[in-house]
Amino acid sequence: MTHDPLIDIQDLQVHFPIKGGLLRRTAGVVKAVDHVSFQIDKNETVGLVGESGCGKSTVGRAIVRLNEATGGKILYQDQDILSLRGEALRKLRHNLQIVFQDPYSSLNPRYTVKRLIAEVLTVQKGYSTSEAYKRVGELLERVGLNPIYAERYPHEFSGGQRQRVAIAKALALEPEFIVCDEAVSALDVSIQSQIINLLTDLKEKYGIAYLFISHALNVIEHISDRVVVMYLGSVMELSETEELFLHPLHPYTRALISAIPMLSGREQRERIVLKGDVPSAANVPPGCRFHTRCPYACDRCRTEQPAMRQAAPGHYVACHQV
Amino acid sequence: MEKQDVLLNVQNLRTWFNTPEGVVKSVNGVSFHVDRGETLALVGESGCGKTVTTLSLMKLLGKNSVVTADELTLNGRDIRALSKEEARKIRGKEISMIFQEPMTSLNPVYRIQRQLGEMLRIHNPGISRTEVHRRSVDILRKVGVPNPDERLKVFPHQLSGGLRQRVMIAIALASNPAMVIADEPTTALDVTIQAQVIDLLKELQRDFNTSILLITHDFGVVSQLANRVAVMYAGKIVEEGPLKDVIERPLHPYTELLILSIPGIKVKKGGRLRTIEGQVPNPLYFPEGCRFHPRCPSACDRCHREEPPQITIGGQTVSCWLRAEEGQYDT
Repeated sequence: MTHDPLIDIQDLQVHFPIKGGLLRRTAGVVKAVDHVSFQIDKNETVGLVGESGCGKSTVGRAIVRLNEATGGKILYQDQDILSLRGEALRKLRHNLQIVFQDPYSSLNPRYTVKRLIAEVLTVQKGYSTSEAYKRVGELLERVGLNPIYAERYPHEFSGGQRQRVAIAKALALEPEFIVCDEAVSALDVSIQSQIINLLTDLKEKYGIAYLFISHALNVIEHISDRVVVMYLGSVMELSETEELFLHPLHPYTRALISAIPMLSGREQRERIVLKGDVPSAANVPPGCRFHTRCPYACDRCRTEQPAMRQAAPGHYVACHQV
Repeated sequence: MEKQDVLLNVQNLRTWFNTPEGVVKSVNGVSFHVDRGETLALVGESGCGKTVTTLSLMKLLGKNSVVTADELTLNGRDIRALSKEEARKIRGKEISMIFQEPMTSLNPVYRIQRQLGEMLRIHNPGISRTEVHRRSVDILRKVGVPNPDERLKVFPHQLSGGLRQRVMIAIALASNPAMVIADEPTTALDVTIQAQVIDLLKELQRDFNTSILLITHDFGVVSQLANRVAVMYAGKIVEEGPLKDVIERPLHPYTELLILSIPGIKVKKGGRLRTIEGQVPNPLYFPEGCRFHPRCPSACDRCHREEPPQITIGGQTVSCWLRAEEGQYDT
């Protein structure tokens, strides 16, 4: 990869201490994100997929500095995001934004939409209130909402409209990059497709790059240019979307893809049903962390952690068996 | 269709709620039947009346509700006239329910042992303690819970999402009901766990000949489990038919749009997904004529004025004016 990435995540680690006992001593560490590296290019959508608890949201939150990283680097415009403080950090948020899963809890219920969005502009760009209010209508139009809705409160909207408000808010500062953390997962399929189309349009129009975090593989397949598959805090596989879905190499990726329910009539893939649940991130299995659920695990997998290597151009995988 | 094969028969079900704003007609004239050992999927967006339909069948609605039907029979027995006590006995024994969110439907302060045991004790009065334990372990093993002996002693929060849903299914199946209502049973789960639960439901249906009424908005899950599909919109069933026919040849524009709005099913990657503009109407103000007409891309004048009749085309029935020429009107 010789080109110039927009965001370069290098060896990112995010650990959370487990406090216990009378003196609240640290009894252990949850390695939510454990040595994760990947890049996001300008105007590219990278899908980040995995089961609940695999650390995918933590990666997204670390990029916008909502979680503090334990180690590693995240490079953006030649500076390490993780070392920014104060004013520089505040400036960073002009360019990096996040949209959450649940617009019910991420929008202040006591503010009108106008005030919600205007606040971003007055705080970050120093707009006067009247200037900011003028921009609100325009932003609402960009996300397909009628500007007269600016006077309403979040509870007066449906789930899909509320997600549009959250996106308008993220767009207010004209960011280069948006983290979408399960942004469409809580919506009905018919509304989900509206939001997916909206995100695609905005990408084309304004050249935005996304990190699209989701556990829904069909959505990931549809929207992403490249896909990163995570399991228990680590990247298992990384590839162009089409290549990944046509030739998944890692047994975990294969199981995930085979588990997508398909409409009958389309060719049915052989189902690989994984046994058991994801192990706890406080107690990661030695060797390959997937070996406890892997149907092909051998002795080597139980002791030696597989390294990430290139199996085909642009297609990386961490597995001894490939 | 032989009469004795029908387990649940619902004709012209209406569930209305009296509210300060007026009468909310959440379910308005819904008819369907579920055969023995069959899975019928009830599909539609949030707020279209799927869950209210099932709660009416279970008699689990509050005092401000009025449930009427021309026919409502389970196993040949009229369930409209049941007293509270009788309804309670039928629930769990003949018809039971699996809810979407196992964390909120299991009691967080009781161990699994007690919650599963309660089902067994209620439906088998006089059962001994050791027998309750033996059967509990048995059921948990059947639904694929590893180490059932130990798992009986834990609280719900100590289990993962997949295991919790298995426990829910175990409780629903404890008394071997003829009919299980599964309300979005896999919506809150990861795909890998969802695949496990779908396989489990299929297996249990094969082993016990249980009928399943599956409530979902996900056509992917429907295609894995259902034999027949009924599509619901704004309190009415707009299309019904065998799974394969409905998916390959949806007759109602709503069904077609629901299928086309799912990424990766029929739309090519990166292409534009079909959307359904607007949202499900408020049940206080359902539109005149066909209820779908404000969101329908092919609505005509007649759709604005007159409610479409039910039309039978092959094995499917549909309520849509666009199909009026093609099939036979039902009276």
